[in-house]
Amino acid sequence: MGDDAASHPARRYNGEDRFSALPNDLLGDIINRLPFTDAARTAAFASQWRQIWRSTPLVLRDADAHLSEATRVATVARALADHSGPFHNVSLFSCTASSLDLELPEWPRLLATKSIENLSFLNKQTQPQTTLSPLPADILCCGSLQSLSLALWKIPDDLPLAANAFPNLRKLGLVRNDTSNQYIHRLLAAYLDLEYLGLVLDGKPERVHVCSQSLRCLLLGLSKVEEFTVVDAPLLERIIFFKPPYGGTDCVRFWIASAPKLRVIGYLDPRIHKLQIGDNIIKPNTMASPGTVVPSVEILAVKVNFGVFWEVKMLASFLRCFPNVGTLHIEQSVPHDPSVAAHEPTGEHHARFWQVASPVESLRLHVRSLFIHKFQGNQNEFAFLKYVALNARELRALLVVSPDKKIALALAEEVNEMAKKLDCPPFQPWTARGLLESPRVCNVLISPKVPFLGVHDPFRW
Amino acid sequence: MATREAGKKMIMLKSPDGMEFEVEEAVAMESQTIRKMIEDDCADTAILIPNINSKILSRVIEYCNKHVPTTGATGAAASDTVAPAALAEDLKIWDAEFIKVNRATRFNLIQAASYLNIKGLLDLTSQTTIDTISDNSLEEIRSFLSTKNDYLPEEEQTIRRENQWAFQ
Repeated sequence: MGDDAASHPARRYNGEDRFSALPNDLLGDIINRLPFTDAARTAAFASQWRQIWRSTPLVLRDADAHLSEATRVATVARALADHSGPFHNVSLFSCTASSLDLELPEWPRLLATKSIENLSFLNKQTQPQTTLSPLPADILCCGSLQSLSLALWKIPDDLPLAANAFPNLRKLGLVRNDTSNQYIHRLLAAYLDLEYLGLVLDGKPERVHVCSQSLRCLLLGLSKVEEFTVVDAPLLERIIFFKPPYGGTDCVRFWIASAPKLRVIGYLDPRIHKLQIGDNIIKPNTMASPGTVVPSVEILAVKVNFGVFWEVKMLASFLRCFPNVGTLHIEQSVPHDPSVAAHEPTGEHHARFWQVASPVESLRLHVRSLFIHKFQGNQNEFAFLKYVALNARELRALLVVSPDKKIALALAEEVNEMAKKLDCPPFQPWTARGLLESPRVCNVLISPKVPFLGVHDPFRW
Repeated sequence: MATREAGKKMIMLKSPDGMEFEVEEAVAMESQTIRKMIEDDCADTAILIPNINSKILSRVIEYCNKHVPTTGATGAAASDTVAPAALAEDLKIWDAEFIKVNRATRFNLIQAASYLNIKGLLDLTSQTTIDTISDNSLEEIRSFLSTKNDYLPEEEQTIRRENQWAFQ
């Protein structure tokens, strides 16, 4: 199929003007997929297109528009000034606040008066600065905002914030800002309908306490943070950790005080997350008790280095803390120091541990799908899989994930062989499959397409 | 309402040129417009889809069939055992083939996707259109869109001045 004209755009098409016959709002939606400078240029096509450009809410992403460094800020400033609004989406990743201040001093007020709905502003640093520029107070007066993402700003404690200033705000992202726990607290109290909170913290603040009656999804990149507490989040369903793109594998005390609806959590990493549930810190030998379990969790993702014995014990502890997990993701983390693993106990030791390990309820009764990412097929991993094979009564699918398809398939074959050799009546038939690893979403805060609440299991993306 | 195999609910869709299409309810509900009709109980008999001829409607159904989340015999989602990345990749390749149609068909698909409110199909058709027109000069795009320029030369100059920042 495919016609010649489509592959040769320059060829004149003499038929009916079908494209322009589409409804204006649909055409507006289509031109908004163009870089904003191209979209504006369509105004010169014909009077209908001028009307469309003027009446379509502005979508401006500075990174899409291939603008030269010299004219970028001026072009963005003119577009913001000339478009009559409303602003549907303004995403600035290549502008500094100071240069925008020079071109268009009233930009923060403009955003408010032109009813901005979605704003992302990464206040680009031209050189590593010790002080960040303060967030203009007008930004926190944009009552029309539905989503707001701020990176590299100073948010001072005395910045005015009205109660319920953002009746429509659903998503808030705060990335490497200089702000206090108290102010985050105030923000959460002001946003009565906030559902998503993304926090990428670089030691500012060092302690965070989250209280929100509306929050459903937490995305966290924590670096140099001492303590993170989910104090009270009655609707919270998901806690998703990702590694910040800069350094940061320091330990954080992650305390879940009250999150009765939590359904998804991961990747928990025993080297990074010192998990506390209620009053109890989860240790390698923690047993299940009413004070150490979160029974609502159904999907759990854990990073573990099977070469390090205490991490394996932590895996068992995590599994005891989340007794109703039905889908378990385990990522074999690569040891940063191979000499550490060299002094660790061998596979036999692991096998004995799993044999005598007190019954892990979630594995025995609930886990239906088990994913092992970056599976290497060593003795210790097999010791765990044997335990799974002999005990997991509900297991329906075991997937061995490896970036290399051939290796994944070979390892899957090996796992199947192992399972066949086990003579065990309660053992349900399950089959290991190899599959390719999907590329991970690196910067979840910037990508609006990641449907974190819509996707049943976010660790499979 | 018709039902077929294993209690799957079927829905009848009718195009204005008189063709009838029996589709699974789940497939039809990929369209938010039809979903709303079903949920409001307006779908007891056949649903007439105005303005979308049988040729386009059959393509739309083909798209929905491919994109509806599948369920296996056990009732568990098929995606339990298949990597989503592989599924997504497969869909992407399928989409790329699906959208290799002439311009008239693509415009009809955009209209249909808009009326039936099928976000994935609207994204696919719109994005394909944008991909074909990006990186071309104004004159080329205008010609491609076969838009008649109704400006007087001096008017066009004014428009260009109005949005001068976009023409640099």
